[in-house]
Amino acid sequence: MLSATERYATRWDTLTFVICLVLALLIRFSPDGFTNSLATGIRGSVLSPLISLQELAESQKNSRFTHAAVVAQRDSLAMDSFDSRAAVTENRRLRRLLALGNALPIRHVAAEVVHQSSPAQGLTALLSVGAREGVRELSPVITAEGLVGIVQSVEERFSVMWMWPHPEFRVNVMTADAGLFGNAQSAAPSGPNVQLMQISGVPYRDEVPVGTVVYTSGLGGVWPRRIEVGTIIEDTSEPAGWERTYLVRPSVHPAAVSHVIVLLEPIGDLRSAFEAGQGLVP
Amino acid sequence: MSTRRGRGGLYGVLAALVVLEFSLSPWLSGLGESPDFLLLALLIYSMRARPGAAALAGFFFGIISDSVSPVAFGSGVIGYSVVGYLAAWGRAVFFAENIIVNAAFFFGGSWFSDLLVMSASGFRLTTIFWRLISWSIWEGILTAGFGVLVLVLFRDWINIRIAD
Repeated sequence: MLSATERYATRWDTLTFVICLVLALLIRFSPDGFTNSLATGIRGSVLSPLISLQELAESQKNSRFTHAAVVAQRDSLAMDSFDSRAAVTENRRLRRLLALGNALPIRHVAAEVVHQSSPAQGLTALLSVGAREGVRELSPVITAEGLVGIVQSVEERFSVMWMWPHPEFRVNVMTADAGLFGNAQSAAPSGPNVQLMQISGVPYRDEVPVGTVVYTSGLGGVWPRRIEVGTIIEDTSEPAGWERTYLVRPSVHPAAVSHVIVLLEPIGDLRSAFEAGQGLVP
Repeated sequence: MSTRRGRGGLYGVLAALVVLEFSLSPWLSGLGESPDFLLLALLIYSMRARPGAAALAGFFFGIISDSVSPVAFGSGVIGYSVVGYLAAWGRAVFFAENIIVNAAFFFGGSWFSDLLVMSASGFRLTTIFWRLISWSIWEGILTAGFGVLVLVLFRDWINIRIAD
């Protein structure tokens, strides 16, 4: 006599399952280029109306829940800009004195973060801007508080962002006085909802007090210099080690991000910035 | 109720759950967390389907999930295919017709799916551990709660008997 499972799961069921599983494993271990184009194709065709619906829902939710916070943020940034105007004017005057060209303006575009309820939440996110807005791969993504992540792939209307907790994410960082340079990445979590970064490979002589703010260093050419990354909260180095490791509490928590700013390439030709400085050459 | 009408009702509920994933999830995640509507649709389908068909449905739901949350494309396909197959198989064995058993069925499916997806994505072990005991439990509870609500409200449409 057959058991309940044998009656219900026939050979065809088992065969279908095995085929699905083998295909799933093949997809999982396919090259990134193939899977990216597959995902892009599905998002741009079958899922396009649904993702547009989600984008609309995100937009309505943000306007409903975050309006007050955004207004407060805008007001505080406006106050900050009053203070910085004098510095900008002085900077321009000094650059003219040294016959340096104006710093290249960084273009940017605002985007909505399309969150997903999946285990990958907080590692990657869809952004509501894509190639038609000028977004390219490796475009930095920030908020007013600091660094969020980097654009990993771009399609016409959307782009995929790696947020800083993503295991592949790296950024070169430094302190404001350039007393420390290192490479920051996400640290292994020590508890639920605890997400930190760590700076490793810092020479042992480079000691930095807890509470120091770290910024992007600009090394590598992907990130502009001086975007806030976070605050050092602990030195986890071995006393007998050769290098230091610092734990950093990032300025931006991935779950709290609803709007972001994607930095685009500078406007114009870089050569103009250097040619303007030729007056310094004897 | 005729078989065709019963299937129409089931597919209508499944389509509604897929739409809710993209329309209601952003609102709920803004308040904290959201049920996994895609997985819920898969589990409800698996309650009525043969294991092979449920695995195939899991394959397609996994493709949808991976396309919108692309950490490691294919991890969702693996997770959803396995969960679909096991859910249909388990349903045949255990004949769950009780609200509590159904809630446990949805919770277990959600939690196990997270385990498979995170393992196949190559997450760090510590990350998997902490997410499974915090985020996944909370998401599983929400998915189970919403799943029971769907079963109670639409039991005639999806043709599932629930003992009082």
